[in-house]
Amino acid sequence: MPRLKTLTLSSLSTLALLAAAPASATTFTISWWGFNGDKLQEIIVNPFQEMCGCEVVFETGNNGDRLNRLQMRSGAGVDVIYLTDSYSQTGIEQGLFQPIDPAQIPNISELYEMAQAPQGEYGPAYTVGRIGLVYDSARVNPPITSWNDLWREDLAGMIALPNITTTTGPMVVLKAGDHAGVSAYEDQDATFASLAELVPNVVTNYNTGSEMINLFSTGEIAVSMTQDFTLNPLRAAVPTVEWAALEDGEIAVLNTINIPTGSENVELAHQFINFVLSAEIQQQLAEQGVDAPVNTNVTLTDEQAASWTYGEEAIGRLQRIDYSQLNPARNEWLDLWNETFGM
Amino acid sequence: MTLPLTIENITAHYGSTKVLEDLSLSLAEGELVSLLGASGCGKTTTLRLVAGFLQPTSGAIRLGSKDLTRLPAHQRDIGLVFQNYALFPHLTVRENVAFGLKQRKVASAERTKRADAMLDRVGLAHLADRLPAALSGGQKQRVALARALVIEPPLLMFDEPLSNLDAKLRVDMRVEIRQLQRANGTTALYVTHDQEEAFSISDRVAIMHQGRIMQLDTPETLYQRPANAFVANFVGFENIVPLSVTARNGAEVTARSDSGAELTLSQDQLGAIPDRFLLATRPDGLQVSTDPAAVGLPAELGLRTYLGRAYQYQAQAGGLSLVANGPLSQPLETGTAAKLVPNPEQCAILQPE
Amino acid sequence: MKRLAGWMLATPATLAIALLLVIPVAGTIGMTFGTPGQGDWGIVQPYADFFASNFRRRVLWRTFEVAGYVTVISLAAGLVTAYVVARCPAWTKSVLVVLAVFPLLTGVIVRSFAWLVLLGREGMVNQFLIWTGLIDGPLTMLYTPGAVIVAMVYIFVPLMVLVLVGVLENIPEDLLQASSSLGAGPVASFFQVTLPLAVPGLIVGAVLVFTASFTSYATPALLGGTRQMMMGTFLHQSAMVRFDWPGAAVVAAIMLAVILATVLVMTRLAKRLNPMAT
Repeated sequence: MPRLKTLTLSSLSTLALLAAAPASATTFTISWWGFNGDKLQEIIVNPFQEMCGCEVVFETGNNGDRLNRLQMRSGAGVDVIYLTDSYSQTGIEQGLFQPIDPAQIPNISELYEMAQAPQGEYGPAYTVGRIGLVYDSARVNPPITSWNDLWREDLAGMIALPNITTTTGPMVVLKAGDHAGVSAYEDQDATFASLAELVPNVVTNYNTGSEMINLFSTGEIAVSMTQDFTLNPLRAAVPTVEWAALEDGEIAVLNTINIPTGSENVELAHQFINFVLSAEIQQQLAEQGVDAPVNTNVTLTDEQAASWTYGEEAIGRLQRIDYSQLNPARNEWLDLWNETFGM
Repeated sequence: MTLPLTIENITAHYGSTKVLEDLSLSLAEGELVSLLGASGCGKTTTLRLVAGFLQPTSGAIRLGSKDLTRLPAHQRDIGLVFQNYALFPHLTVRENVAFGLKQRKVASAERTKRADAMLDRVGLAHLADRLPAALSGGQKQRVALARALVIEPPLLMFDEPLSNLDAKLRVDMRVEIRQLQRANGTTALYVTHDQEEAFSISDRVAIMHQGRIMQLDTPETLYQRPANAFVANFVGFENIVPLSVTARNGAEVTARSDSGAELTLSQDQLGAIPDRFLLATRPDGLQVSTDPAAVGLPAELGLRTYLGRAYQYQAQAGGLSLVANGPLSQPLETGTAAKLVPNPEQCAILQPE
Repeated sequence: MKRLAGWMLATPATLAIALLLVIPVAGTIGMTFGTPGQGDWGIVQPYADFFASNFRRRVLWRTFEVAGYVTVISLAAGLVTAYVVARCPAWTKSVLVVLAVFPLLTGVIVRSFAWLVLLGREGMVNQFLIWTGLIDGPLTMLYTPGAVIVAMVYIFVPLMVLVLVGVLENIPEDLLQASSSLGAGPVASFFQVTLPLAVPGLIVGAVLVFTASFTSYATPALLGGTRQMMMGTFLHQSAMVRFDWPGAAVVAAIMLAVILATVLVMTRLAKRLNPMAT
């Protein structure tokens, strides 16, 4: 009998010890692209880890990969997820996100209206970008001033477009429609006929921002359509690259940050979102060339603002995409796109 | 008159090793000459040189009046029969035989005719459409023979063609080869390590050792009159006894061995006998005798073995180890003292080395 | 008891194969079938849809074309290389074989990347061509089927050389000597003796290279780009980008069918053409 007593006591005490062990560093999982990784580590991750006393881990990849993985796990495994607005729209429709509690994110009130609740009760936008055209001024003359310039004969074999499977891909179709003078949603035939005229100018279609930058730096292309966050690394690789001043205007892109339904640290997630939306962090991100600020309290010099979509006026001029219309249309356009470019 | 094959002062090396030393050999028209020796003696090397698979370091090879020395192998027009038959496994028997004709641009119908005729001669017409894999060893060798003969080459060469066949087949096949060769009248060079084979079918045999020809003669001459100790030993003269001449009486010579035994030999029977010489005998040429009056080498008998037709004894004769035969009527025990009597007909006189 | 022990020992492996191979593959193929009664083709409607699409047929055809070119070119290049290597003395031969096979040690991606650098507009090939004066300005060689073919040949020739050196070494030397003695020069001997006897090995090599290039992903992804899709890259796009799992399963099933058919046909052919079987 004494032996049994000893055994019971020792097991009980071990259990107690284990239970009492400090909830050793909670793991906070962020899902994002991995682009600009070292800057994000310095500006966001390290300070946040100190704040929360938690351990931050990442899941990286492009929009598609990460949303796909989240869906395969039924919304679990990740605490916050960074996505571009078209993908977060898909995520919402798939029921993968939970609505946020604005009360836990007071910094939302400091954001531009466009960024506060871009997709209803779900996550806010943390940056606004533009989609436009870039070109290597050393090889393209005269400079590009309109979307229609893509069809110029002197640009034969010099363009890489975003692939239909990327965020910006479907917008190429919209612009092809514009070029033909029709709505891409309504007149597919004319739109894709217009797109077909573009084919001789296109070398390949890219899947990721890094791929596009590589294509420029190795001289394979001289013109592309891309989001403005790629401009800085692009200029670093090819200094003669210019952002085209388009008379017919650029397209707005809002990147959102959402909390999946399976998040294990919902309160911490709200804290995190509030943290990254704060003016101090947004200021650093903007000055370090990471993301354009949506917090109205961020002030940038003209030089700093040069590569960003910045300021009330600039933001107001952007064309917004209705993803509830674009996303379903994209699925229809997939095969037509492949038949245009992939035959 | 140009001889079919002349090998003139050939020296050959494998890398830095010298394998043939100043070798010369000529074959007469229609002659079958064997190169006989143990492995490493240079016989296969000689064949490969004539075939063109190896280049000599110096010397010349001529086929008739054609200088082969610098000619590539495929232009030499020699019929080769290989040890492993070297039949093309993907071609039928007929196609194998016709291969050489095809290379000589003989028309298809003519090729078939001649190939079939040759297959008929070697008795394999019924197998013309088979693949080599379906043939027995002997049949394969006959196809190989047919293939070499059908191109009517000025020279045939055989590279140990019968080594892979069983004993009975070897005897039958060598007779067939000889018959075909004589019927065709083709000059032939035959490489083998089998003494019986070489002696049975050759017009002349070259016994080779360490890249040299030790003796080139008819089989009979080699068998009875070896020119040196190596050849003597090769053809079965197991006993070599050094002797010194003590007296000469016309053709009769008295000679003494190192152990003191005296023998009388006749120059009429054995040819010229120099003052110091070696007496070579076969075991049969040294008879064991217990007759006290016998004239021969005194010896102590050792192990006795049974040959069927006689007994054979190991014997010690004054420091020499000899092998002698004795009659079945008188089996003798180890330790017996006897005289070993040389039989002049089975003896040969050799120069001392 | 011994029998039972035998069964028990085999169970872990059998389970592993069943769980990790049979069930997933069966599941994938199962995903490809539609519901009976749906559409004109019922249960095989998804396959009908695949073949009805211009683009998908083009992708399938392009994959055949590329794999075909790669196989033929690798055969020729591999055979010539193997022929030279097989005739070298032993020490040289070992060194040459190691050199030929060495690239296999680096990954496919690294080797494909090398071509990305070589074939670019600013790459070595263009620089060389401009230097020799053959062209005035750089050519765009990347993102074409040609680039994919070149890189795949480079990647698969070592495999082919390895297979063929073994095959050629197995051809007995005396056959070539016999051929020579009968009047066939080196070229004639090669075509009439060496080549026919190498055929079974050639077929093995061809099957290996064809299946590997037909199912390739990394090389077409890096060097072909999105305008030159092949079955491998299309499969990836369908599954990982478009989340069209049933569509991806159809692609996978078709690839599987092509490979199985190729292996079957080639194996039969090899058996019939093998004259050395005694």
